[in-house]
Amino acid sequence: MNRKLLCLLGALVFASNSLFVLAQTPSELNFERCQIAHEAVARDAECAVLFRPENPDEPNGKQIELFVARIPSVAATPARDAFTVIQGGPGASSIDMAIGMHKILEPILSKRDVLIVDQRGTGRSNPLRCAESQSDTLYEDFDPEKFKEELSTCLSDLSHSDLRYYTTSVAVQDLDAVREAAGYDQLTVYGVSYGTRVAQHYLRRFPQRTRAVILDGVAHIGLNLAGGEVARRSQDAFTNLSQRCHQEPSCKSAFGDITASFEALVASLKEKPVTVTLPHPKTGKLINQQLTEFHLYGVVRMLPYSTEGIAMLPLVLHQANEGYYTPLAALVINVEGSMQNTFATGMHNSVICAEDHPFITTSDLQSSRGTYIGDRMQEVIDLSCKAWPRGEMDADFREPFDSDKPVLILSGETDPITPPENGDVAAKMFGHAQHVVVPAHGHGVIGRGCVPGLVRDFVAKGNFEEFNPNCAARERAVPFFITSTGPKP
Amino acid sequence: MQANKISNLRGFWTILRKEIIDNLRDRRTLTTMAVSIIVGPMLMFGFLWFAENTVKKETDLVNAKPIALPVVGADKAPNLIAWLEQNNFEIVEPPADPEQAVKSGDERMVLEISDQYAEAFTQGTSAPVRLIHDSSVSGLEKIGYRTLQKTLLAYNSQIGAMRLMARGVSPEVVKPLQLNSSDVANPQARNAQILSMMPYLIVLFIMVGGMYLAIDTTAGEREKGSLEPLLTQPVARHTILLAKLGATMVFSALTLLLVLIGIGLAMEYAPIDMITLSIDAAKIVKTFIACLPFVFLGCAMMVLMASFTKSYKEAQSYLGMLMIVPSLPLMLLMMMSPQPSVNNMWIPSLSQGLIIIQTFKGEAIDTSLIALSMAGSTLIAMALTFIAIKLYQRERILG
Repeated sequence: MNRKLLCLLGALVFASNSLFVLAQTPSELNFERCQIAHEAVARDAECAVLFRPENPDEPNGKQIELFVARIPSVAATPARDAFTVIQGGPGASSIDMAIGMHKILEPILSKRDVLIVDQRGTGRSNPLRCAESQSDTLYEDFDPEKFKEELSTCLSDLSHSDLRYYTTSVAVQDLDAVREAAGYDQLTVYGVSYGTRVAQHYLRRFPQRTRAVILDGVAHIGLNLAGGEVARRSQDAFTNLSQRCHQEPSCKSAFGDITASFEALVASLKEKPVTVTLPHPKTGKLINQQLTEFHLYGVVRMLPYSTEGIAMLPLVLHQANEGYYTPLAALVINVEGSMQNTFATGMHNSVICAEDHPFITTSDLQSSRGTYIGDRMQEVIDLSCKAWPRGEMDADFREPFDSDKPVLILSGETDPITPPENGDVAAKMFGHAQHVVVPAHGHGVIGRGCVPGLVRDFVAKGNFEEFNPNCAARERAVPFFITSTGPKP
Repeated sequence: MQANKISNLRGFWTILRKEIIDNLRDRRTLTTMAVSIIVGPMLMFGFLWFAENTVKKETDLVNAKPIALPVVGADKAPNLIAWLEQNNFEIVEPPADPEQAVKSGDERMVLEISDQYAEAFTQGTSAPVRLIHDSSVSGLEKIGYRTLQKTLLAYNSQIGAMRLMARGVSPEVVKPLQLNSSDVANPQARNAQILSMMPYLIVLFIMVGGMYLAIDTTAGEREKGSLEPLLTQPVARHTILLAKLGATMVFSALTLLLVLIGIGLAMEYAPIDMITLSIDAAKIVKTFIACLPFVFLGCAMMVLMASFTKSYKEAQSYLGMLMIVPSLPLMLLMMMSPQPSVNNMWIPSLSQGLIIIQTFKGEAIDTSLIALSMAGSTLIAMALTFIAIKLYQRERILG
């Protein structure tokens, strides 16, 4: 009896021992505790640097640093895969985005680590930045000569880097190298906007290494970002917004036809730009802000990215039309402020000039016709890409492909740049995809309503078992602001 | 002298073996041990599972059922109502007397939109809404109320930020601080709530594991009348006592080991999200060894106490009360979470509690402090044993 009991106990201890200890592949990366910060927001993480050849064909050639951040799971034995997020732009930092994703990452961290890389050429990984004035050509009267000059300054500033190797095709190789060096079997990949292109190409190149994919605001394979796409989608978004205001009695009675207000305002600013004296939105100091039609375009383009922006646009247009320019001028300052230092223009050009610009079709070009942006953006891209070294692109990069991996596709109903149509195209391409359209929201919906919960469930399971996206239908638009105090009560 | 010594040692082993075998045959002891490995962890984890599931059911973004919310004056604030509906509240007809309905428990809460709401909202002054609730309702019943508060505050800050934007002011201006926090605890140590319950459970089962034997071998034998023949055997009385204490300790220690394994397995396999602790074999062995002196102490205490009592029943009630003693320092531990130091590591039960928590957390604890804990408990246990021996040497022990 005694002996039996002892044997049993021995077996139990042994069993527990062997069951508890799961060997994790050790990380080759030297992770150290660090803080990652974006503006004022900071969070704890573990940071490491991975050296990668700038030219993938010369493994021993010039090396560039990839900055890697890991947020360790609180689980005793985390899953063998890591969750990664890829930011859009192209040219923006994935780590910066992740810092603000607390609400989304927290439930994921209960089961698996989060591993984020600043894509080469962005953020903390050899960012290809140009002098500031490069980034907001949209807001100024366009001067091609001045632009060419700035472009050549930019190119010489970036002459230490070989600009051909900052494309998506190279970046996905980096991402997989980071995965392997950090010791994970697979990645669960979230991409937003241009990041969806990276996520899809990663899935294409490394299907065995991809556990599941989430695409949020999809740039489907083959979508050309360099043609008239931005102009066309921005115009559609404004037209839809104008229609919605027309259908809503409170908006209609307060502002009438906002397309007409917009056109009137464009005409008057074209004829004579105004200079607004206003307290700076942050410092409160009196400043002078110039308002041209291009500033107006910038605000009309950027506000529909969120439902909050849509809610304010009719009021702001109306007020400006009546001669009260302060809110519009303040929005110009806010929009420019939010764009500042976000994009590494050099990386942006490397991507667009290799993957999009050479493939522009006539119909791409024509789609900007009759839009408020017109062909201004194309002109900028044309000039940029003529001077920019054309980068490396995998041969099948723009070809459709299929995959049996689960792909969750998210679209915002009123997305002014990657509308649900794009999601439908992507959903058709993948055999194992679900497309969730979140009502009333704009570009990038992962933080909206119950979507963080959907993402948590999908990432936890790695498939669509018991996946129920009905809750997303509860979302509503922020009601139009009728006066400065807000919507109807 | 030599012969006497040998017979003492032989006597000790004989009595120890007899007590152990007897008790292995005794269903009560085995039941206690079975309970310790299954029921102990189940009690603890069952509670956590229930709490977690209830919270999840009510707050889960995806699957929560709508929370019924009676609203007085809903027609005065259609956009606020739309916001509530969007956040999974189901607006229902208000009761005739909202305060009474909440008081009597017919409704959890009622939202009342005042007559001035519309006017104040349009004028840009704060618009009053009243939330009728019952603060004496506590715990899980409060979840819906808190969700409502959060939802209303979110509306507040959303509209507030947009009002500023509409006036050309950046909403950041009214957010002077960005509070970032850094948690230096290792991920394993973030299970504070569960960790603080562990010492309690473990110490309790150390006591329970030895209790029946402690009673049986003293008060029990006395009641059955078998103590007298035993004491007349040619074995020293202290040998008899030590053997009985030894047998008690064997069962107490076995129970401890089983509880530790039970906790370890439950940590690994319990379907509870908030548990993110892994207790491997090394941790179990370390904790087991560090707690052995307390096994000695607990058993000595119980044997001593049991020898004062005349009957099984009496012993049971006294020993039941005795259980409270080692749990008192652990309550302190739950409230204060002190760091292990020379000042507190000599205290029995508190020091074992600290060792359990630190070891489970995976944090190092100074070897000399562990030694202090072990020495402290052992010394006190030896003193208690000495008193028990003295008691046994009196004739009164036969009662």
